[in-house]
Amino acid sequence: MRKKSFLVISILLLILLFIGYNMYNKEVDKVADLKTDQKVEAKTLLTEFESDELAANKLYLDKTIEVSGMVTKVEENEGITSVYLASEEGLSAVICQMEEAVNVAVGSEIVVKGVCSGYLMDVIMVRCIIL
Amino acid sequence: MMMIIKKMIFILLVLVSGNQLVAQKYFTKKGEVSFFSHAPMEDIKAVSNTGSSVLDAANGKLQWAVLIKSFAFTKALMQEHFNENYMESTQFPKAKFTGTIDNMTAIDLKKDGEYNAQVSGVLEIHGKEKKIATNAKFLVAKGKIIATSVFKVYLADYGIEIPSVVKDKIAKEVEISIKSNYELLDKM
Repeated sequence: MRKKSFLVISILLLILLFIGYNMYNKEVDKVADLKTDQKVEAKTLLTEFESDELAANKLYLDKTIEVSGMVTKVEENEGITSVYLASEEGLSAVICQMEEAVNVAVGSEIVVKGVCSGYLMDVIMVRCIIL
Repeated sequence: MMMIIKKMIFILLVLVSGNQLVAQKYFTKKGEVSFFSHAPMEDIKAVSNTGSSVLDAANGKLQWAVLIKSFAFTKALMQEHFNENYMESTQFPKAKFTGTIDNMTAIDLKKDGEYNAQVSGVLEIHGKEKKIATNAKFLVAKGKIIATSVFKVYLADYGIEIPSVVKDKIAKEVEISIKSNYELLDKM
């Protein structure tokens, strides 16, 4: 009887350890698997951050959002592709750091899904994919 | 007559210096900021490639900003703890540096070469400001400018608390590396 319960307890412990180990090693979710929290136009997103950053942070910070807009620039730096959306007035844009290299033409209208990490001179989106 | 000449000279001066100012500002929007901390169980590291910086070569004024939530980790749990427990990045979304390159006169970003820079200023992390001084390097080659710097920060200086359970497992200092291309800012 004691032997049996010892066995059960050790198996349970092993399972717990295994679950814990997996949770600890779990990688950051791919954006494709995340539920979209907000859909917004690039221009609107930029205006919202420019006029009231605090309010915009509450709405978008760390959220998975789908941003639609016109590609104004595509840049490659050290293997990382950045797609700029809606950067016609002044210097600001919505900068989308892509998950992998993409092939989009300047001037085309696209929808990008990514995680909004906030606003510096531009609105920054990371882990982005094109829908 | 005298007045007109004076005015003309003034306008000329403004034009000339104005042009110079515009022509000497450099910026990046793809600055790489990474940090590294050695811990007994495993090393903690993360990188952001979306740092912003403006450098005014006329007076050496330098500004940097990076979004805390743009740091990418491999492990989801680490990223979550970093944002929620340590950096509280919803409340403090940015880290900023405002300062100067103290020996800017010895650096010519228009001429190929390797330059050592002394940087000093105020670093703001987690809503707390602290004066820092560090060295940086500018590498100018064929019109391309790459700036690099490595320095250490102490978590306690920025009010970043380490829970007592993991106190011995997490290093009290973190090494920060900066790498950035600078481009000439032509649209002002």
